[in-house]
Amino acid sequence: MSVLQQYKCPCCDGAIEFSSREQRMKCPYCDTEFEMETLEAYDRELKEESSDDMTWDTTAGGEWTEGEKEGLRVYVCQSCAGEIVTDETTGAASCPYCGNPVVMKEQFLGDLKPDFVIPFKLDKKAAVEALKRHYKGKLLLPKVFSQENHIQEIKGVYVPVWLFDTEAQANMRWKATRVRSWSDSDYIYTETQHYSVTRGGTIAFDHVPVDGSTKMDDALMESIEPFDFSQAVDFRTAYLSGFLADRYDVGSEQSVARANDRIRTSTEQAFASTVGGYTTLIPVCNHVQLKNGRAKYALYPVWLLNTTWNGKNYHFAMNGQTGRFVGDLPMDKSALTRWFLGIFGAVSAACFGISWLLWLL
Amino acid sequence: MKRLFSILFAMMLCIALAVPALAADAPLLYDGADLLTERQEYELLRRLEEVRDEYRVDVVIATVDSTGSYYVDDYVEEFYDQLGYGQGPNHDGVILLLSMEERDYRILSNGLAADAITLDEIYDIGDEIVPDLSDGDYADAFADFIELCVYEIDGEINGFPFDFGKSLLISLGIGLVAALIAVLVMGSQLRSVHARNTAGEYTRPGSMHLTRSGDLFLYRTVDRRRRPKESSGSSGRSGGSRNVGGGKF
Repeated sequence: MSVLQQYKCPCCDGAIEFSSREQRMKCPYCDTEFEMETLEAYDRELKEESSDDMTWDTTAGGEWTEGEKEGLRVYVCQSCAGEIVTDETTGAASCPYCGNPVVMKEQFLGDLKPDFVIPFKLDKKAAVEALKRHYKGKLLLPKVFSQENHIQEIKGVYVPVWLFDTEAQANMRWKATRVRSWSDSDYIYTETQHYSVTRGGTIAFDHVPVDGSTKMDDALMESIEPFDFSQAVDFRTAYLSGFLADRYDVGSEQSVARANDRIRTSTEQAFASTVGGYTTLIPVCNHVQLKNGRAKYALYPVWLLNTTWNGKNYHFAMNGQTGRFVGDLPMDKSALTRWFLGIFGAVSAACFGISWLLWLL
Repeated sequence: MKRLFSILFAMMLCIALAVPALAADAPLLYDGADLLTERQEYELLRRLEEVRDEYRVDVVIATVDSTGSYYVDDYVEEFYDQLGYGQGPNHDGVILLLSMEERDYRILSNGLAADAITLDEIYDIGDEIVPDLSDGDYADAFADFIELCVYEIDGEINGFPFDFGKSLLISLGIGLVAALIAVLVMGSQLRSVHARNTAGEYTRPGSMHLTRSGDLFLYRTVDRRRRPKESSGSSGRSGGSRNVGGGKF
């Protein structure tokens, strides 16, 4: 008696009907032949695959205690409408992001209290020195830009970030090939072996930060990572003295997507690194499920430097904990042309001379 | 005339092994597939004889309707050897053979010509003449073949002249690439703001555990292609090296 069961062809995804009378299967669409055990094992792999689940507990931040908020002041930027928090002893005259004047709005109200803060370890002088180092060795930087060094303002700002902790359960599958070649006197043979590669397991992430402020450019904030969370302390308003603090305007729920993207990519890379010995590796499915995903609210220290040159704003940022300094710089187009033509001419002439000498020899 | 030559060629192939002297002085142009006019044949043959007299190397062009049961590589070797082509003790020469039924062309270089026209040059020459062959411009293709062979043979004997234009063009190309890479590197120094798309630095140390790992073999495919033929002619009448290559047109 013949028992019919349908399998999916690993080569073309067509349906293969399996007859128990047969010992070897052949796909009717692509003519690829398979062992029975191979199709059964591949079928089990497909059934074991799960779907994505990237949900979080996004309740983060705490409640302010009695009297804690009273010493705080809120300033509103007249240009970008950004809101900055300081303590009552620290005045704010201009917006740290756009440099425009700010006005005191009211007594600080509402908002969540940060869970943690990483205090500033580096001062304003270190930021100025880092800026000078940042200019060095940049051959296409306009000289006048670095010589004038006209930084309009340097502000130490606590940037609000959401920190995500989670354990990721990963299930990955790839289509892989292993290629080998050999030849005899008449032919060159190329054999391609096709594999289905699966990996599964767990990996945990701690304190993946996502910028909680729309005024702070996400790429600028990510460029000065990483921050060392082991030096974070419980938040106290005393840490704000002498610095500004940005009020978060992106909630933890809205920040989840960015955290998921980064965690998913790193999870895929981590498990892909356990696969070796193949010529090609093409991902077929990669499912990530998160467990114990929770968010925290923290303030990270950043030195912000702003300048305007030729009508364009240039923003620089320094990690107030590690000193990592970033910021895009303008390009001197005439220097670009000079360098391009100089290198083009010199290398072409050198090559032509060498080719002529080689011909003489 | 052509039918007569076909019969003669068949007879010579049969007899030449036994009586090699009969194979001497075979014509440098054999148009068995009747692709050329009398005028074209006359002009090509005159040029082929000029080349032979100047360089002491046979440049031969042959066309046939079919190679019959012979594989075209074997046919061109038999054709060259049995008809006694080649000048001097090493039988210096090069032959282009067209088989019209299979649309195959083969180029064989022997002796001194094998040093001048290696397998790489054979394929380069093939690339040059195949468009004309495909379009049916056989006389143009053959004329190009002769001049390309002459260029290589002349270079082997007298040395290649310094190719000013080619050297300048290559030097300018290298200069352009070097300048582009250099300014791109300099430009990238000005860009330090980049989004981070990974969270690798936030991985909890020792937290990764592999609980499932499988490498399931599914199936294999084997692709087979004929290798280009390049052989050392140490046997028979060929004293030097020999290269055979070609393709379809």
